Amino acid sequence: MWKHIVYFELHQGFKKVSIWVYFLIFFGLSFLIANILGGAFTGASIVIGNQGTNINSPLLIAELQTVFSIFGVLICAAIFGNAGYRDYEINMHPLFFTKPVEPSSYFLGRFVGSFTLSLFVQLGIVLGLVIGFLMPYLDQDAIGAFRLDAYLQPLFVMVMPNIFLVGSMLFTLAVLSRRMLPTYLASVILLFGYLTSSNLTSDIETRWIAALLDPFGGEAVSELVRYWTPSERDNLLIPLGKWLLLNRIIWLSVGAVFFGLGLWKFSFSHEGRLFNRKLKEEAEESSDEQQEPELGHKPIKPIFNSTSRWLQFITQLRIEIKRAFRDPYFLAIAGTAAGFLLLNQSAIGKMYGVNTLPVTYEVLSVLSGSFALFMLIIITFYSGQIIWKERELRADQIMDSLPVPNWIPMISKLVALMILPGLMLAVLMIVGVGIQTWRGFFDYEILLYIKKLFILDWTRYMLLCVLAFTIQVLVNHKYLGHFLMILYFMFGIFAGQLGLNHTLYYYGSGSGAPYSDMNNFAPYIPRLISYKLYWAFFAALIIIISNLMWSRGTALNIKSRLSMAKIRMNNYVGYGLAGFTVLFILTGSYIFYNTNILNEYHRPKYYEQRSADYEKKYKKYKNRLLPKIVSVKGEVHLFPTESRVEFSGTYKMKNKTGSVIDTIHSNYSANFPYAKYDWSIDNELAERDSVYGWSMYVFDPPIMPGDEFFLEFEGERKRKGFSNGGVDMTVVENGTLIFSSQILPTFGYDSDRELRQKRTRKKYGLDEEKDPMPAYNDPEGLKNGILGDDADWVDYEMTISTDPDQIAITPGYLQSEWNENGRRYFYYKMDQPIHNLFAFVSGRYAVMKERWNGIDLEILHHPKHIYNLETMMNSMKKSIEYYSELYGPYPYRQCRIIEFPRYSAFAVSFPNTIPFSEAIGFVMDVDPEDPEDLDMPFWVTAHEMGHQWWPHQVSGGNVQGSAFLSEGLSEYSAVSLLSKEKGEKQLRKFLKYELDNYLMGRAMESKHEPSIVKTEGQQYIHYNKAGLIMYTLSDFIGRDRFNKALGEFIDRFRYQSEPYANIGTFIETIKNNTPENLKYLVHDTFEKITLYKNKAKEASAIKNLDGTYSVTFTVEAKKVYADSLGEESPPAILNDWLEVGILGETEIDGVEHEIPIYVEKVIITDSLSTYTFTVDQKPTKAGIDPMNKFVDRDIDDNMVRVQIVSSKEKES
Amino acid sequence: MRLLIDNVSKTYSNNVEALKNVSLDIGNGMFGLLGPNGAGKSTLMRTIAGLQDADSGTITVGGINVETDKQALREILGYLPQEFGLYPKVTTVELFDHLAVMKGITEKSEREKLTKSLLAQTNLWKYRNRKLGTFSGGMKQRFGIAQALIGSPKLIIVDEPTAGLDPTERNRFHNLLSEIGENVIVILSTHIVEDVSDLCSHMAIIKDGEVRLIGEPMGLIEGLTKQVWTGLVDKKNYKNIKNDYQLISSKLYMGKVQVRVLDDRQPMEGFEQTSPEIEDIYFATINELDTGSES
Repeated sequence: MWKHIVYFELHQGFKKVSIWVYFLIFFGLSFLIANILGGAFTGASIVIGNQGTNINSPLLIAELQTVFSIFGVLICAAIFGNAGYRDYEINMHPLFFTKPVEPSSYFLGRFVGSFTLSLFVQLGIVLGLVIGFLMPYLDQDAIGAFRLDAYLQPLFVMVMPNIFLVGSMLFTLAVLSRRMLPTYLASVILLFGYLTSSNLTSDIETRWIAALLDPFGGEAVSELVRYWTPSERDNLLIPLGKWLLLNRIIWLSVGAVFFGLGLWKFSFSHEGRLFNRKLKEEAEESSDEQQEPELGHKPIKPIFNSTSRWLQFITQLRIEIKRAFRDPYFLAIAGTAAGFLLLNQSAIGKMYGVNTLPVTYEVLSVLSGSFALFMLIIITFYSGQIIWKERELRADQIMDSLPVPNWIPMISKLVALMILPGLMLAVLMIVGVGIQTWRGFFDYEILLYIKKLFILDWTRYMLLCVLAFTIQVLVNHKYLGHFLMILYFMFGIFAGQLGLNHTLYYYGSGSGAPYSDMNNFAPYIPRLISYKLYWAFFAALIIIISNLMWSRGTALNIKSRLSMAKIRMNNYVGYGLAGFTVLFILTGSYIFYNTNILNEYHRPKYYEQRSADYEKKYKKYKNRLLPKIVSVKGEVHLFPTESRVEFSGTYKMKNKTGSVIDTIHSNYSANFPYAKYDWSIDNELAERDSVYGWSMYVFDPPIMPGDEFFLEFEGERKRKGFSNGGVDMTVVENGTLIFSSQILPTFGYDSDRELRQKRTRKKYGLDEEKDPMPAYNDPEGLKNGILGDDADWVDYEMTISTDPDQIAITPGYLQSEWNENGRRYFYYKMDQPIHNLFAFVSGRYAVMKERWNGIDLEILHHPKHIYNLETMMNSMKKSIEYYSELYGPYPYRQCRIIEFPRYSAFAVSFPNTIPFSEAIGFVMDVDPEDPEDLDMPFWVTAHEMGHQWWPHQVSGGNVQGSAFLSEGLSEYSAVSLLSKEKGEKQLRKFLKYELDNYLMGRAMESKHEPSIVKTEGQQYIHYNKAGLIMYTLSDFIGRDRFNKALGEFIDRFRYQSEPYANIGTFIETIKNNTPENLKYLVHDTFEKITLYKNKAKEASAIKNLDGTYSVTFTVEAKKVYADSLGEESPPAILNDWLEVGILGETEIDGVEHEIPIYVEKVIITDSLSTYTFTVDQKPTKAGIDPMNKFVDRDIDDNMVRVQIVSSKEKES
Repeated sequence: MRLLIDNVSKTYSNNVEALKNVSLDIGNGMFGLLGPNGAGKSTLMRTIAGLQDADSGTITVGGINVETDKQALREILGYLPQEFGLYPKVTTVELFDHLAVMKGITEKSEREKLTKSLLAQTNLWKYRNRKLGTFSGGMKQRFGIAQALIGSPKLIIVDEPTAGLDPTERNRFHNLLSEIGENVIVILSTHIVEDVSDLCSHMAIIKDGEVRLIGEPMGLIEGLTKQVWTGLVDKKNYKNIKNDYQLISSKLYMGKVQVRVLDDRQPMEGFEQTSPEIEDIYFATINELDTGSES
């Protein structure tokens, strides 16, 4: 019997257009994605996962299928919800329920039918991908062999369980409650689980929760493949590891419970069972029957004028809003969203697991960011709800025949729809203030709340409301309308990839604006206004069109609606359409003028082509010898309110090579050519390429070795309106940060402009690999410094001027300061040679100043950002103290930290000058009491202070490994200081993050992972790997010995150029200070990619009579070497020093903390080793590498729980 | 005021011809529209009410073209659809008041008066604070009638108004309609023949989208005088009658079949002449019998 029902269900299903529409949309989307991945559209192929791996890698296929199964919830809701609810909705159920069908057959039949239909729709993805990847015009190198199992496995492991889960929840709720609400609630809750879980991934400690919490299993997969190398990604199916299996078991069980419940409780009764509210027989039928008014019908003349229209509108609006608040769907989503907000507050700005302070913008960005999705759901969903309300209640005929013009029901519904997000935003604001209060932060910036939520966001949502509303009106099919909205969102995601990245054609675009406490939204205001107006006019247009096409009446089809529209069309409507079209075009033209005429607009492909051509055209000049800048002198005039900078200056240059130089290749900005560019010696401009900003000067007579000459230059940069991508932030109102390389002249070929990605390079006929940097010992490479071949160490003096209320800073010491013509001037001069890279900073700063040991320490900060100043100041002192001891004295008399707006989040070290982003450090909320709370402001400052030695005293050459010498050694300096100041506990957590970041970084490596000697600037290596591994190395070699080696190295190379320092010499220096039995470790660290696969096997302890514990445990150690693609060697022979240890628990402030109670360095030669130690404290876990000092992809299995056996048992 | 329906046709997208060249000229008073299920009554009603447009032909009410000037039509229209729902979470008074505003009763006090009187006339006043979701079918129907009368419409279209009403309420409804039905056009569609005979001064019968008969009930009945015969037959004879005579209708009566036959003479022994009823006209028309009156 149930089979028959399945058949009937399928028959019905496949007759529906919607099923085929869903299928085709899914098919189309995945086909499109396959094409985008394969580079069919523009060069800027999308990055899903790792760009270096095959685009049809099993992992990617699995991830895509999983993601689509999340979108599929909506379709499941339609299919299952409909199957469960349909009969009740149309009151068919008495017919069905009186048939001789077992309830279980009915239930099972419908369920299986819906499941099959949903699966069919999901198969659209598989088909789309399979066919998509077969397209011959795709980049075939990027496509691996077709593997059926790569498609089938995710289908069985991810998609089908997901459909089962979603389907059984929705279906059971629909048939038992006989209402759509619980169905809808359930899908919101599922989505909620998914969103919450994705919020938990930023913190290492909570990732496993995320893996389990995600109902769709995506996070579990991510967790398992987190550290997967390219070769694993290309070749392996998704692993059915612990987290994924657990996740699937949990959620399948949830599905099964619902399914069972449905099967068990479902019966053919007329009244619903579950959640069925008793219709309250309101017996208190109004008691004043006596006062029943007399019959009689006095005619009252209706009035139809503008006053009555207005009254009708207001009444209708009121009823629509009231209805929203009575609408369980709306309440359900809104309630869930509010719950989500509260839960989400824990995710506020974490870095390395450290909270930022709940300052208003931070709270806002977290809350409104994650809230956006709910908003989209509410708008998409409720637009359908509000438009279909009457028709669903079958009240439409009465309502449609009321003597009101179309605009009254239409506009009142639209306005009600627009008010909803406003109310939600008000809730968000209350929650935000609540969070701030709860966290004890009372500096509420109400004005900022209003600006962001109501001026920026609400208008954006209003636009979205209009779109969703119009789509619902025009397509006149609720679910299709929902789906079109999803397509619109998808378009937003993929438009750029399709080369359709102009903001003029993505409805609602241009709404974003970066915020900074220092500048508010100031730079973006003209852009915001232009776009808001532009889209508002467009919205007005489509509102008018909706009004014309407004569905009123019965038996409507396209033809009848069009002829109705024709009738509704009148002069006023015509004027409206024409007027708004004109306004729309005018604002659009204004935007176009800004984006395409004042500024350059190109499709992504253009930039690729340009980079490729640059390389083809100019690479031949790459190793041309150049004279070097020896001194820089000049003036920089900043005009913050005009967003303009004028500059001029003189380079003193010298031919330091042993050869004659007759040509200099100069770079300039094609948009802002220099106004003056005068050489002091005879020259001729042989070629000028204004596309690339490239000039070739020929010198006759040529420049002889040792010749000195000058270049005088002058130029200007100015913000010109706004561009498609945003606003030029070179000069901002407050907190300008300009790097000298942005504006001052540079010379020679710039290999940073070359294309990087293998496949892209190939497409443009370039060699697949960019030329590598010269090897660390390449004598030519060592002639130039890592910061460029324009100069070695230079003399520097600069006059910098700005608005009178701002302070302007550049490296060097302030010689004099004066006011002139209403501007403020500063003259800085550095009294010793520095690298040829400077910063020009200007802002309205408050200054914290302290003179310490003869050094002026300053922090120039935004007046409100006072939270971490003491810590940063302290870190400067501790760093100077500690590093001076290790590496020799701090070379300057002054050190300044200068805050700049959070448009970028980094800190960067110039001599005695450290620009430091608002986003990191200044608003951190470090709990000094919590030993695990990483002191980020302290750490970042310490790292930047490290740079005052590396590379500002010792710089590597322009060769491999040099990035390590500056970043890696600064990172090591900071780690080392951190462990000294903050203790092992904090360090352990920090190293865990370093390890995690390194392993993730290498997983995302799209080319080849180098060993440290071969690094060319891979951040995951020179920051994260270096931080971890250098600490370990110093720990095993001995901190003193190791630091002594660093000291030796710095002494040898301080301020040296030609040749610059290199990592080879560095390693030699370390090796010379390393005992023989640890030399392998130096080798493993620098010249290999070394991974340990350590594991604890078992551990037990006997409680001795004296209260101590004897702990015995067995560990397994394994070491492998990986190649650059992550392919691992067989286990290497072990003769390695590692650590074993025992953890216990201590109570600190009432919280149990895991702490090491015994750690010992041991040499391990066998893969299995057993140790016994006696400890005083009760052991909880024992194992290998308890401090996570070695690179190990699975550190969870390093420790096992200790089984405690009482001594007596053991004896007996 | 006259309602002129001129040559109106409508074919649905599934190729069902719902109206075929329908022409009617309707004046003030009650006009009954009779027809079997699916005859096109509701289509015609909705078309007159401006809810859907005909494929061809025109309809005008007192000079207002219902297709092009819907607003003017709606201002004089009271409409009760055949099947409808109400907002379940709103109380009777709330929705009624809202509808009154929408119908142009802008004065609050007037609205209150009107609400009271119409709800009382439909016997709903005592349920005024009940949520509409708790209404029974009959109560809902009465609400529908009440709302159709708001604003003294000049054209009242009620589609199957008495469906679901108990006899008392039906009576009450008949009284209410007849009270207002004299000076306005009331079009009432029904398949309950008595509704027409009780109320209507004019009527039409439509079947398969075509108007089969127009006239005044009294005149139509007179036209059949002395032509209707009734008799009890057994089932065997019933077949013969069906084949040989113009059978109007039949029903079972004590194991036999009571038939009504249209004939000039006594069709069979035992048949008696009986006075014609509207029902006879109805059946005669839809069964396409030759009544002799049309030839």
